[in-house]
Amino acid sequence: MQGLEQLLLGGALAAYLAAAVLYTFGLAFKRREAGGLAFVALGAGFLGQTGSIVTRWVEGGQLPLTSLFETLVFLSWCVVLLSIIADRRYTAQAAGIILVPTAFFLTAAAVLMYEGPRELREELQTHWLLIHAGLSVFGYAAFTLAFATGFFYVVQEDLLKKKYQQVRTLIHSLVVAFGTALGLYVGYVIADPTLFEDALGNRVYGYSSADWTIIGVGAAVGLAASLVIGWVAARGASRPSFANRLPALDLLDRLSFHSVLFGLALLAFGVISGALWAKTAWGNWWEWDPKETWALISWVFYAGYVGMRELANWRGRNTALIAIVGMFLIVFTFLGINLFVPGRHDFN
Amino acid sequence: MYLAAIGVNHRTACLDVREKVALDDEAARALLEHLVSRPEVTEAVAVSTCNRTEVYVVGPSLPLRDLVLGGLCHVTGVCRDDFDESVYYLEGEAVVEHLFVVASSLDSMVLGEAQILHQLKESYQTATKAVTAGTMLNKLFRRSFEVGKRVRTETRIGESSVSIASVSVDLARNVFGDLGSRSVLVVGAGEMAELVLTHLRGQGVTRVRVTNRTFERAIELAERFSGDAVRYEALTEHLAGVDIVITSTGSAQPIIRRADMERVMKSRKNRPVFLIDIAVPRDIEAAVNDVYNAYLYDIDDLQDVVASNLGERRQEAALAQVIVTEEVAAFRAWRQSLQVVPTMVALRRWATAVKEEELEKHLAKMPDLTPAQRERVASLAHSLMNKFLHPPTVRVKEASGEEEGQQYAESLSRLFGLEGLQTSELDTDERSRP
Repeated sequence: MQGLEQLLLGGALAAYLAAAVLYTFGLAFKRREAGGLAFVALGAGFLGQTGSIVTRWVEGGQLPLTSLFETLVFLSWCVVLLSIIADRRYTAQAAGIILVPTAFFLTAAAVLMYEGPRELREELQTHWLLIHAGLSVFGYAAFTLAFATGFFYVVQEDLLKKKYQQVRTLIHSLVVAFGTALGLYVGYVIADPTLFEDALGNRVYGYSSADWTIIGVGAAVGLAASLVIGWVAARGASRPSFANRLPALDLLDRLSFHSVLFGLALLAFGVISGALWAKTAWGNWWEWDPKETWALISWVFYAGYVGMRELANWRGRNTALIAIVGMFLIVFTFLGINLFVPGRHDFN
Repeated sequence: MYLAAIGVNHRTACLDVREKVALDDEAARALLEHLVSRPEVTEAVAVSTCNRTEVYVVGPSLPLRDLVLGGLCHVTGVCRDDFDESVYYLEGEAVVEHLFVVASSLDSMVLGEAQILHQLKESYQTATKAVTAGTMLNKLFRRSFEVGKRVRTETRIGESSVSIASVSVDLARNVFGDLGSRSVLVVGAGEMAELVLTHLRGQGVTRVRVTNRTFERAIELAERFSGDAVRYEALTEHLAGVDIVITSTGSAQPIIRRADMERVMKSRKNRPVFLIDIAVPRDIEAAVNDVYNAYLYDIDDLQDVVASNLGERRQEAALAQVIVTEEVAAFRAWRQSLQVVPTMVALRRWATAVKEEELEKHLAKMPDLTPAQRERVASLAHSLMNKFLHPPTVRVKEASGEEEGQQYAESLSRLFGLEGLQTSELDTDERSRP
């Protein structure tokens, strides 16, 4: 069974890589066939990944959301599902250019740290876990879509507003920021922190110097690659015909708004179900566990997006920027907390 | 059989001259029939658009310049001296390349325009109706349609917009996506404004408001643009209610200023607005573009986009040229094989005749042979003939696509005295029927 699961996941990984390349190629050279092929590859990968999750589910007897590996796989599955919706329902293929590579790297990171289903602590053997973690992770995926659409909103806006002049620096820096963050993130995922107890008996994570090297190399590779790619992309993108290939501002704004609303709802239910679970399991609604706190901060932040949009008419560029900044909050909430701050949400 | 083409186009002749030699369907037919009635011309096709008049002919000898020009003057009634210096005359492969270039819209006034292929097809149809296109021109024109199609699908030569109006539509789509539910306000009159509006309507825009300094004029314009006339005094109010604004007034001062637009944006709740200012001097203050969610394009901005898109078409033209070169080579191979095949057929015919003759002669001298033996001798003669013919046949066929093959064919023809036996496919082939 593990063989089948890994095979399906590996196939999905390859399909995502193909889809990511094709989406990018399609945007860069305006080849409609590439967009279609990308969608086929994405769909095939999605089916493969769904198969792998189901296989593991059947085998482990629970929705696989209990280890970092499983959570990453589920997150990338959600991201792919959303990019399929963005592609078909909203015809915003451009979103795939950010979402599909993201899904690829999430899946790749997961594959690198593959582990079989594990026996759960008794307190985690409950449906609460599935509801709580599933909803929250899906919410994070929705915010990733909001980020992708916000990203392209800013690019399209600048192209239109600045008349295709002086947008190279912007595009270059956006790509470099994205690439470096991605490299850093992949480095973090590959690096394997060890849990130990410090002098006071607290459980803390520690990185060996080898881990730090991996993280550094990840960031450096991301930086170097995105410097080059960003330069090429900025040159190619600073012209009207490129703007024609991007989705319209109106569409990007709407899609970004819808995904934030969706993410807010999911995260709200995720937090509430967590509170209910805490109440039934430990008798307390809220314990200010770092993950809880940061999830709440993220939620309030994105609620601010909706508030500013509806009350202060911040539709457009401002809300797109909020969605971009929010991504950093989400990455920290989802991953940073687990890596740096011990708490109830540790995967171990 | 030789190919030639004579013509004038927008590069060599001014509109004045092009008008005079332009051929309508009837004139084209008359010219074609006139030309093929002459022994010097076996096939003819005439192409006439507003940017070119060209005549493609096939004949047994060159040059054909004077003959075709004479025909053109005869049909159009133009004095030859009036346009003689604007005429270009091409022969042989240059004709093939020229037609392929024309079909690919590389020779068009607007690079990459799609009309030319359609016009070529119509011209060809006229010739097929007049039964003046034969094997060579049939093949050449049909191939040119394929080349034109290839260029359009394999390159992006026709994709980017290269007019102010179509660029305006592109930009509006970049802001709003689907334009079907969007509304437009036209301020002032102007042909360009009307053209932009027509393009927007093509994208499904139906809600149009029209205003002008005098309301009477606004009503007049509204009728022409089939929109609703609104009062100029309420301009700000209407700015708040529409998505796309086209301004084209004769005002010396800007009619929409940044401060106005900021107020308008407030009542619009920051819903995006796309402003197209076609007026010179400008109707909208440039600083309006700095207002949140307002996108202003003046005539220079639009021209810049057109220039950038044209630049892209020129890049694609290089790719198109590669396709043309490829196709010219393929056509050359076809033509040459056409000339080699009849020679080989004639050679074989000659050899068979010799064999039959000799067999008859010798068998007559050997009456005692049994039928089986006679059979044997016949088969010997046949086999010898095949063995002798095999190497040259293979060699010539191999070289048939190249210059060399043609030389071989000519040598064979001369060495074996095949001229009389050779029947060119071009002569025997029927002219196309409608």
